[in-house]
Amino acid sequence: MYSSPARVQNVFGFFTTVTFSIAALVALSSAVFPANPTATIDVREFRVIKGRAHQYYYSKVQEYAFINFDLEADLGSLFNWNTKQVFAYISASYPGSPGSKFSENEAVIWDVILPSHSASKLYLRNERAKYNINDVTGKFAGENVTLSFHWNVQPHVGALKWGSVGLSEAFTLPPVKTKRVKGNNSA
Amino acid sequence: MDQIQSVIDGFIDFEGQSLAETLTTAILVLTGIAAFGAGWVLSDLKYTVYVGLSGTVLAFLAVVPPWPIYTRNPLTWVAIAAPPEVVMVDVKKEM
Repeated sequence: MYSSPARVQNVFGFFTTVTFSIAALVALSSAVFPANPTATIDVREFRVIKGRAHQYYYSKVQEYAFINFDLEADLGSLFNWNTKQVFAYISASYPGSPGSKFSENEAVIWDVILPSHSASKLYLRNERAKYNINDVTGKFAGENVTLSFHWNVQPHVGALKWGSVGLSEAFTLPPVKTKRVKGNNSA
Repeated sequence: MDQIQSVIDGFIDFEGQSLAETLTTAILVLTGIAAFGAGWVLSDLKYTVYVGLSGTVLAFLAVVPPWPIYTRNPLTWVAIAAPPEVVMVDVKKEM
């Protein structure tokens, strides 16, 4: 501490120690806030259509599922002082046809980034899925699909937090080119 | 040139160094606590950053320049004693 450069080094050195200690405390403080978001999903409409991916290098014709859904979600409890943003998404999962080696399948059909607490309530009616999914085998009809709602908290400091809440009723994808409305599903 | 060197050096005395050390620790620890508290109370991490950086700037300003408070106890060195008289003696080789 005899000379000015020595004092600059000392102050800066201890500044980094304090900064990392506070950052660690902030990261740990996230655990104090309870995360109990709510969500309900209802499937409105679903159909399977044969099509080609919008990719010039891949011309295989395969089955695509189009899904419309209702969503009501309240993610307010995920926003605290250490929340940068919340990523929420809906995935469709289905067991795969009997005998298939792909026995557990999950694909994201819709997602959203919530940047602040004021955007934490979601209310969607007959929302069309952002992503039309196709199966790895190219065939879809007859699959027993369930939608589920997932959230992912991205904090300023600390670890990402993942969770899942809200499961729709299972529905069976109809054969190609027919359109069914919920409740009219004979399978 | 010497003046520039003296500003860069900013030497302080032993008591001043002890005080500077204590001040560095105290200011930065209090800043950290205040920063966490401000962010927590106002529920926004940006206040933590603002308070933390302000306190750090304050610590630099308080400790780095050789303020008079750090040079109040200069060391008084013992004066240089007069050189002792030396008697030159020729040593002759004796056969």
